[in-house]
Amino acid sequence: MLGIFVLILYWFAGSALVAWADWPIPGSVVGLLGLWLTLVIYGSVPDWLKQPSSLLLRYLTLLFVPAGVGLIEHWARLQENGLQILVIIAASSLLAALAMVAIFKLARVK
Amino acid sequence: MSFEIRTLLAISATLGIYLLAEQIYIKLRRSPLVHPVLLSIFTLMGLLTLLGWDYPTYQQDTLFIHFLLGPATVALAIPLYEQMALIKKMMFPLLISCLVGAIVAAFSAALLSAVWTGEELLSLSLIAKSITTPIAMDISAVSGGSPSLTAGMVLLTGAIGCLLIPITLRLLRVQNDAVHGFVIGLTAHGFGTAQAFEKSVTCGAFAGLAMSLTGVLSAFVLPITPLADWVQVIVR
Repeated sequence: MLGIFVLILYWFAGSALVAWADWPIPGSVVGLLGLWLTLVIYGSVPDWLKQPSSLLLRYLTLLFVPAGVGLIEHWARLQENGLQILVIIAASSLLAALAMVAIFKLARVK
Repeated sequence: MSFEIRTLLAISATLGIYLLAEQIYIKLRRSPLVHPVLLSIFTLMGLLTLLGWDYPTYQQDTLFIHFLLGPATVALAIPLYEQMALIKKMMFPLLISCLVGAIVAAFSAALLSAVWTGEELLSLSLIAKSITTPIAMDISAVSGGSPSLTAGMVLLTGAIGCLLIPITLRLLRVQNDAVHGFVIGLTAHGFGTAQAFEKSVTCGAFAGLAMSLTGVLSAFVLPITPLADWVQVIVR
C-alpha cells in the first residue's frame, strides 16, 4: 500500500505543479519524471514500490478498457469513416517505422 | 438497481471479461487480432447495448479501474530507470529516432485524416494515436480531441502495428532486437511492448523504453507544435 501511496503522491505533485505553472502537459507525466529523477538520485528501486508497480504495469491494458468502451459513443463515426481510419493508421505507422529505421541505419546501429 | 450493486456489477463484469479474454488470447497463440483489450471492449460494448446500459453510467461505475491509470503512468518510471544502462549506450540515435518517429506518427495521421475525412474531432484525436493510452488521453484533451475517441484510435493503432511492423522490419532486414523493439514500442505502444517481450527480453525492454520515452517526449513536444492549428485550418 505504501507503494500505491507514493505513486499517487507523485501523480498529485505532478498535477499540482502543472496546474500551478499552467503547462499543457499531463500531470501524470510530470509525476513519472519526478519519480524517475528520485530513483536516479536514490540509486535503486525499493521492493515495496516495485511490487505494486509491476502489478499495475502487468495489467496496464486492463486499465484502459473502461475508456475503450467509450468507442460506443462514436459508433456512427466509426461506421462512416472506419475504412479511412484503418488506412490512415496503417500508413502513418509505416511512415514512422521507415523514418526510425532510416535513422538507425544512418547512425550505423546494426 | 441500487447504486452499489450496479457499480459492483460493472467492475466485476469488466474484470471477469478481461481475464477471460486473456485466456482466449493465450489459447489462440497471442494473435494481435484477438488482443484481450479488443476482445473485452467489443464484448462489453455488446453487453451494454443488450442491457440498455448507457455509457456515461458505465463510465461512472468503472471509475475505480480508470483511476488506476494515474498511478500506472507514474509507475512507468521504474522500467525506464531499470533500463538506464542500455539507454546510455545508444542514447543519441534513440533520442533522435524517438523524436522523429513520434512527430512523423502524429503529423502524418492527423494531417492525412484532416485532408481525407475533413473531420476535425477525429483528426485531432488521431494526433495521440501512437502514445500509450493514459498519456494519449491527456494529450488529446489538451489538443482539443476527444479522450474516448483517442482511446479507441490508440487501441486500433496497437493492433494494426502488431500486424504490420514485424513484416515491415523483416522486409527492411532489421535483425537487431533492440531496434526491432524500439520501433514497435514507438508505433504500437503497450500492444507492441507485450509482443516484443515474446520475441526476447532485449526486444521487450527497448519496446518498453520507446513506449515510455514517446509518451514523455510527446507530452512535452506535441502541445507546442502547431499541428492542432494546422488541422483546424485544413478542415475549415
